[in-house]
Amino acid sequence: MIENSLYLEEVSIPGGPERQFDVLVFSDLRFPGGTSTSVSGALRCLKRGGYDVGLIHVASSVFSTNRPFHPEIVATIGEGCARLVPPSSQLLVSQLALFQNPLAFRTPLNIPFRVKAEKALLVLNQPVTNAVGEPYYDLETAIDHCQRVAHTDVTVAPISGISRDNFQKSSPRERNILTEDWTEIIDASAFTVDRRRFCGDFPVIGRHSRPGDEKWPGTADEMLAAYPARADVRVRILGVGPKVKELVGTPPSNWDVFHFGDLDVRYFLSTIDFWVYFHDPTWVESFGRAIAEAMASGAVTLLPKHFERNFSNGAIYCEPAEVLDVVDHLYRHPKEFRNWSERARTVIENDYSGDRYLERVHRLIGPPKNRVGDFDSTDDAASVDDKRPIAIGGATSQAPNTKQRYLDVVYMGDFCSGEEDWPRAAEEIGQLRRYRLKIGLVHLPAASTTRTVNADLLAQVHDGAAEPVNPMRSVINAKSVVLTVSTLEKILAERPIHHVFADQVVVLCDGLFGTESWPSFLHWLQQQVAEMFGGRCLFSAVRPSQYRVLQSANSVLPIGPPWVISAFKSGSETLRRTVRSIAPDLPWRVGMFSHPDESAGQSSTATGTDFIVPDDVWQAWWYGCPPTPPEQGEEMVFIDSTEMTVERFLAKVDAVAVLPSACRNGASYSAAWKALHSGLPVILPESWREDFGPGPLYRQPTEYRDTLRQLTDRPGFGREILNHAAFQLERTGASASDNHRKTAEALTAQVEPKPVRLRHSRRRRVLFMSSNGVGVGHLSRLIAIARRLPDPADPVFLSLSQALPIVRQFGFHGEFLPYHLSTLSDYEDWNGWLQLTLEQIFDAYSVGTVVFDGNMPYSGLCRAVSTRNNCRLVWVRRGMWRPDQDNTTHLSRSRFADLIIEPEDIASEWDTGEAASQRHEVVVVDPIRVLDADEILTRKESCRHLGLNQRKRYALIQLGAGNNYSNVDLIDRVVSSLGEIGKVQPVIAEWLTAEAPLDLWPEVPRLRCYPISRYYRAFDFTISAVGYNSFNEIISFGLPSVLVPNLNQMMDDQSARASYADSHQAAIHLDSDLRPMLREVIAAIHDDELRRNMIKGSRKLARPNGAQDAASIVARVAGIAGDPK
Amino acid sequence: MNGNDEQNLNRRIAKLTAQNDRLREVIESLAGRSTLQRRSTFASQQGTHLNAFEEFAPLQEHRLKPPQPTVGGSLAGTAIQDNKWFPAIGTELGPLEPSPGWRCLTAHDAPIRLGFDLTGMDATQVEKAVVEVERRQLQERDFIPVFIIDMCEFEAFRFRGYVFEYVPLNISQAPRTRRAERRYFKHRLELIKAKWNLRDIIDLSD
Repeated sequence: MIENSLYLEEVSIPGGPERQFDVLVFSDLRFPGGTSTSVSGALRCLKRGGYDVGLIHVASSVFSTNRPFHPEIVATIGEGCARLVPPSSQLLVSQLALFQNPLAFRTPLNIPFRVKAEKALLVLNQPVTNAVGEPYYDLETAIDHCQRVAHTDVTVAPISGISRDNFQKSSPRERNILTEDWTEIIDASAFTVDRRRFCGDFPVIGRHSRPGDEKWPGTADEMLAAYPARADVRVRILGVGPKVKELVGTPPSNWDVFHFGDLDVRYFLSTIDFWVYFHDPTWVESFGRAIAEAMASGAVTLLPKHFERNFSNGAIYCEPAEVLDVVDHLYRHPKEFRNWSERARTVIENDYSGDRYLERVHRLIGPPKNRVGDFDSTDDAASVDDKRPIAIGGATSQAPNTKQRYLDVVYMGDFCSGEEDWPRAAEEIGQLRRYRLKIGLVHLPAASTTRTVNADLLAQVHDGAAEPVNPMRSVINAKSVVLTVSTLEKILAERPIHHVFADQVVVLCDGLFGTESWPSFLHWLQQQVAEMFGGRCLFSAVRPSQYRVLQSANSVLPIGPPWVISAFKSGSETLRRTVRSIAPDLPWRVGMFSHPDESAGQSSTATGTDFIVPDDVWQAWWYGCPPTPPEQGEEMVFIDSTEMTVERFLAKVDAVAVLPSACRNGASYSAAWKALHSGLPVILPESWREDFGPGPLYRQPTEYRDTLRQLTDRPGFGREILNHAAFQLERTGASASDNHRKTAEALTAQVEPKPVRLRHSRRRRVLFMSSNGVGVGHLSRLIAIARRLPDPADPVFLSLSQALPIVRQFGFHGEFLPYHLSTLSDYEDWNGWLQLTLEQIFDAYSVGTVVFDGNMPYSGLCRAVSTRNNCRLVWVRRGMWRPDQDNTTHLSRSRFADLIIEPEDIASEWDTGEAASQRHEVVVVDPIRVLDADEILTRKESCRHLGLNQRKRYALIQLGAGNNYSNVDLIDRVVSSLGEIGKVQPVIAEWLTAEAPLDLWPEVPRLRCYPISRYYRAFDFTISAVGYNSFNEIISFGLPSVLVPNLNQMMDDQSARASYADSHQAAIHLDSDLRPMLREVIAAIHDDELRRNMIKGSRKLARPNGAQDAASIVARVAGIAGDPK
Repeated sequence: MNGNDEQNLNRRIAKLTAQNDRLREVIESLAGRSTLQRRSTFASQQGTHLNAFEEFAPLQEHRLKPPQPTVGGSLAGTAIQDNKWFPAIGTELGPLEPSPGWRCLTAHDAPIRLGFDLTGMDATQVEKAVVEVERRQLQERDFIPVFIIDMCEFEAFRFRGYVFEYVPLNISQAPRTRRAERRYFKHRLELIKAKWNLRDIIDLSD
């Protein structure tokens, strides 16, 4: 009984009474290793030779029934190298029947059709016995079974000299044996490595193989002789297994060990000089594919003597104990090394090439008789209709608004859904933009949802690559509509589309193949599409595995080109590296992907409980929700796909791990691809290997945590993984751009469409955005940074504070927006409009970086930035939050910032606010001040500027804007006290944001200026509020002071600042105890010596200006060339 | 001043210097002057308003390129018109309620919101215009104003509790970029109108 019968029926050729082939290949297509690789190589080679090949799956007892076909086999079928023969066939006629690997034929072949072959070979992919003569299988039985099927004598075909020897020693009966070896095929060109230089400063010995025990030397001595534990030799092992642990324990420090499959063999071979292989003495290696691959790469290969039968003079044959001497010698004699390297390559090219294989086939059966492709013509006829004209205002009802929209491509679906891979569609739209296509987005909202549109799609709208088009407002005519089967099902079930017409509809098959009747279902969809959109239907799939299945059915369905996005553009790597270089101590973050439903308990999976949790090194950042809610105390960050683009997310993490449950999370597939392209280590479940191939690490979920720890504990391992992924992506680069071209071609019906180079504005401005604030602290810090940025930054300001004139004073252009408190509106409504205004401003000024100073980035700001890929967010977050405030929401906005700068406070030591516990996520700079010390005027200059008499004494009263507490009474008391003492002239500083003028004391001059600190030397002392700027300037510039904290609950911890200065003899803290004695305190500060001591105390606390450092950081994040001033 | 207060004060101020004894003298002498007459020493400065807004030359020469017309631009338009169908903004996006001004706070439910375009006016002209609008509002009490300005002095609105929108113009003198600015201004006005649900914008601009 042939298993996978359904699969065979649907992807194979149509059945019939008799089929002619040149070659029929029989094998169990589920063999995991060399046999399937060998079969695939043979199929490709036979196709190149023009032979028509039928492939017959023999479901042997070696494997369980549910094991899938080997991916290489599936790939070769997809490439058209062979066709699966369906059970419905009656008679297969061929010139040659190849039976691959006797293990598959130990039991009778239950095949429902007859085979008539002129010749038959049983290829000995597996030795008959082990080294001590114990049989692996009964060869006579296998031969007998093959003969019954082929109806002709079967000739045994050894694959190498060793294989031949093994057969001859073990076979009791005379059998037909092929006179020449049926050698394996190695494409040497695929492995070639430039060997003109060694890989490093020490010789690098390596080996790769399956991890089985039989693949290793029998003793620890042999192991350590062949793979020495020495500091002057590097050993790299791909395919480490339990035997290694058993023999040597923990791998020596000079060994780099990898799991089998972690690295692509071609990449691995490019990182070693010598390939050394010694296996268990009981094991018989029939051929040694790994050896041949190493030799093809030009690695000098050291082997046990018996391999000389297979590889003649291409390798060095020695004992394990001799390995080190040989390696040392050749490393010291590079010329000799290169000579051996060349010999190795020559042997493989001469003896194991595809040409040799074809020559043998030709000698056996002659040239091909059946032309490949005989069955293709009927397929095409069935698949594609003639192109239909665009149907405008068809038979169905008209749109309410009959405005016509003509577009090239329309993407259609529920853009708020987290289940569809919208990041992939967005990437595709970005690529198609280069073909100057007009692309529309037709949103099909779910009945009830509070979610917003996917962030990646919004990013494309921001870029002008696509525009939302409402089918209820206009009739849409498109050349192509792209949607998934899931979307199409929803449309058919819930709401037929009446106002969208298309030449063709590309239906992407997403996860359809689990059902039994998918071909007939697709046929039905095809008819529905024609009725609904008036155009033809084309099926394709995004994942290679799905596309291969689909393609195998091309006799019955219209199949488009592969919808494979294999080259993602990503700018996240640059940002990530910049941020890491600025803040190397940020915690390591792993970006996790799972399915959103899991958190609601709607579909808990067995693997759901195995997801990794953060440890003391790695912090988990979830894109979507975790499979189970985090336990209390677990530090996790959650980001929804509507909140932030995948690219922005990837810029914030150091590795990506995808859980098996994430198969249903739309974003995870393209996110994993994008992560690979942005230089991140990616950990995937094993089931994804077929779609991604080499590059990511494949692990069980329970192994994720250990793998992550390996990445941090062994930096070399991390580097290796990244180099390997980059190597793989470089290899696929050409085919990726070809895929994009094919996609554009399919969508527009253009032949060879030519992409154009898009012009991007080089100027990416820095937008400085300040929150409202009670004073001008937020705006001041931004001005301090902006004026120190290098030339190309071209800062623009957006202020919610009415102190905007000071921005103009410093020569910057600025915009203003009214804060929600100046309206009677809901905060969330205000945020929505803020987002829209920001989007206009971003576009108008080409904003590339936003530097926000405020206690909490507004949700409107976060959304505006996070739905753009080319806009970065720096949050300037000062500390000293009040400890009694709940700032959870404030801190949770950290996830949107690409970098957080904390301008330190002179009193930081006494910071007990919530932000102080999050110092690990910020970069700290010295306190930021607008002016440097050399910009402070002398007393004489200050008085001249202010019109004061420098011979008189002045006190500066700067008690804030009075917008959130009444400062009038306090000012009155201060003025009265000063008047009573009568020695010092008060001057009242009037805040630029004050809602009322301080004109209640006509005898007291009011000072309106900015920055006040420039004129500090005109004053003998100050009675001051204790905001960040005032405090840090007063202390840094040594102005004696009485500090009066603003105790409003919304403010920062001004009391702590004042107490700190007081405790260091730098100021007097007028706390609630002392307030009744204000007059006495003011009298005390009239004392010259007291003030001198305050100045001394201040000098001890003074800190350098951190504005310059902050400017340097902003410049780096913004990618601005040039050194900040 | 009672004994506890004095002790507390001494303790606090003593931290500022090692010369406790001398300070104590100062404090004691101050405490004995409780009936000190208030002296007007400020006569010479009466009514003075010190303004010192120096122009700070930028530490770096920034060459501001004026705004260009919106490239993508369709999102804001779509969101204003169609946010319910294409929810780009995470809220229903209802219009905002402007403050009716300090003198007309009870008129917050006035049915009409009117925009007043005061662009091109200087501070004096703006002051006059705002006074006039305020007078009308007090008289009729059926509208709430939202002002649109391009000059950078905001007291006329702040001291009266009015909402205003600042839209800078004339960033560049080059004709081509001036056109771009006008387009940008037009986009902003459309957004402002939708944002405050303005029935009309009355053009008082110079």
